[in-house]
Amino acid sequence: MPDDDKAHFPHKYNENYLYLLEVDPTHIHAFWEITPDCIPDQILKRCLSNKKLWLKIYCNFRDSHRFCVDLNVHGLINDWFIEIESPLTGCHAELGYKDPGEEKFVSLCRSNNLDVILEKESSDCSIEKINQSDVNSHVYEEKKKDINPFIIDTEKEKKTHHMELITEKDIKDYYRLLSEKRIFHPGYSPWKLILKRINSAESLRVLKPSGFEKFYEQHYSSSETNSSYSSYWSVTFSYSQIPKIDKDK
Amino acid sequence: MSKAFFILVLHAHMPYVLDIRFENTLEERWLYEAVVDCYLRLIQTFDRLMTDGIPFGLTISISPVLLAQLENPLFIRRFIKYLNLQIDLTEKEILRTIRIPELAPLAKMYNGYYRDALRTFEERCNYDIIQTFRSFQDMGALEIITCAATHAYLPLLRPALSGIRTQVTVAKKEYKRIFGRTLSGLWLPECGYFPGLDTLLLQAGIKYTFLDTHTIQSSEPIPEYAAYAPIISPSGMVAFGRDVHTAKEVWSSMDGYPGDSDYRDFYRDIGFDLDLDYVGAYLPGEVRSYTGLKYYRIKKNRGQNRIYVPEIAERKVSIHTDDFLAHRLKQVRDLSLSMGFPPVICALYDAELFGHWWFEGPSWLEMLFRKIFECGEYFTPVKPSDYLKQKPMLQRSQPQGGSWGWKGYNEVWINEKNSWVYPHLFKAAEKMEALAVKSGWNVMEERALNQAGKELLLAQSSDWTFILHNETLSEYATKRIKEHLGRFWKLIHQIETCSIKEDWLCEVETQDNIFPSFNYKDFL
Repeated sequence: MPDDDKAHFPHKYNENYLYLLEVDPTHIHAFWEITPDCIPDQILKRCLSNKKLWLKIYCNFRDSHRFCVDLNVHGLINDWFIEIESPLTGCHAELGYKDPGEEKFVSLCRSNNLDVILEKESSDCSIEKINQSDVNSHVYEEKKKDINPFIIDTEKEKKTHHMELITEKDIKDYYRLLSEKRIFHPGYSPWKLILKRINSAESLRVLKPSGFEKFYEQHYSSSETNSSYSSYWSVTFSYSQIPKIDKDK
Repeated sequence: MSKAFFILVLHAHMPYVLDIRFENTLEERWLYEAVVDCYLRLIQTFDRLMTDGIPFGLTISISPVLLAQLENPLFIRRFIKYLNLQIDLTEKEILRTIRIPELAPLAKMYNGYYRDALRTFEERCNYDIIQTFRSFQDMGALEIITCAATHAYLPLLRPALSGIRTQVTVAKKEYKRIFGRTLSGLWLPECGYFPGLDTLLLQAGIKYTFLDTHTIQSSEPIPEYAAYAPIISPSGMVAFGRDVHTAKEVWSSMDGYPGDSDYRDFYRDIGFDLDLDYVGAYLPGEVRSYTGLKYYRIKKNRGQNRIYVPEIAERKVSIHTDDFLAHRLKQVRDLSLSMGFPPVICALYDAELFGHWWFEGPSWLEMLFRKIFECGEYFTPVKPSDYLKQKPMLQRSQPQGGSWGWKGYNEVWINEKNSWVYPHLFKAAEKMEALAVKSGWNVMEERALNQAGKELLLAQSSDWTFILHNETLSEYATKRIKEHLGRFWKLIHQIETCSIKEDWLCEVETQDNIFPSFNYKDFL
């Protein structure tokens, strides 16, 4: 077998990405790659050298308090271990630069959502006992025909399942899953997406899947990701009938 | 006083070390040593217990990647060759030590040891260790479960959930293929858990798992009985908690039984003591390493190594089993006062501790079960599935996360020595998912996709990041990661450019020949 198998190991992916991983309750790890062509030339040189990149970490705390930490990071070092405050329950981050003059943050990439382990023992001492066989429909069993990961119970005709998809990637992936698995067909749309922007006065929007793409393009521009928690969405996915779709087609 | 339940779980795992290109490598030796020192000796132990009508109710987790190696004809051929080589070495040792009265009996002991192993493998197991373990399960003597496909550390694969789902799906499929039944429990590699993993496991039909003590204790709401009563997560996953006392008594390098100075010293081996001219032919690459022939006891403080005496070690095994049982009795008495129903004491260990690292371990296990049978009015060994069949009422509580690794969380597998690995795993998983969702692949492309998926699974193994953390064989671990991911991307490139080289694909399929039930669509 040729030794050049290792030669195909990529050192870069030429994409912008940012990953967060949890080390322990008080440390997270951030790793990213950014492509030079996503940064204007006049800023590029500064960004890749002298601490002109910014890592914004959006932290969620146990008491629902939210906080954003700005870290000035060196452009040539893309592997950071960051100490965080406990009791953090979750976070996500954005990497970007500040537009000179305006000092406006321009986001280059957004991370995955990260749930953080609680370090301390819970103060909740309530006791509820249950038998495993009595656990309700929230027990997930393998569904051979399950092509929609959000279906809980195929027996019921009408069910609403509430999901919190809080990043654009989540919603994009979710939409891609719906369209690629052909859960809705032209002229047949049993699905509705009800989106509510968290921490905002904006009311409920009810969208049929055909309208989703336009809505997504309209609302998920890069400027949208600059705002902190207004980009959190609560999505309620409701369906009236589960279409039978051949998974192999 | 209520009778307690005692769940003993042994987790058996070896990284994928079979390499068709090279024979007699140091890494392949790990596998052969584990088979001789641990797995075959467990089979011999179980046979003796069953012959004497002593129930042992033990649970064994065997990783899918270990199962894949044990059923590989390459392993069978090479293992027999290894055993014959060891027998040859011991016969040479018998001649060498004929005038060394303190060593001569040990040389004969090892000769018998390896001959016995060969006989067990050939006659008892009919060259099939897996089916031998299966027969014990089919007779109801033990429960076999498995773990994530290539022992990936699941909490650190979260950014690419398809990777986690595939690890679990493949585990389930391989288990069904090999053992002919549905998997009900899953061992989490390194007991690594994060909130939400229970949901993923339940989606795959897994009903229970095992978590470390602090992971259970930090659950929300706080478990009423700590790790002495299994809890059930809101989604319905049952989690058994590791008992910290049984862990310390056996695992602790300072105070645990295996460190006793009458037990055999793993590190003092003739591979380092004797002339290389004499022992070199029996070492991988003729470079000094362990042969398995060890003549000394563990050093006491700063003293000299004393000669190993099996009879003295056996007496110490008896003392340690009595000690273990005495601690359990005290535990049961204390717990019964507060609990009001039978506690569950869950002892979790790596299988390789018994026999490989702790030479006397299988004897200790056998003696333990014999003594429990003789005076087991205080607790009874039970298998997790049998315990759950009793439909116990369990406290609903959500575990928060953790592992049984150093410091209790993820630090062993993500630190400055190994953090570079993860973005590569995520990017590969994203690519795999993107290709898996497409249709219209021809037969050759599907073969290539299947093999690419297997390469990614092998790269995800937690063994490599563990080795990088320990800095034991860092070069080897780095090579393995880059080889598997290099093959992955080469396959992807060939698929995407419609330029699949069938000769090379056949070579890769032969080299990384695992998981026949795996299909690239498992990444969906």
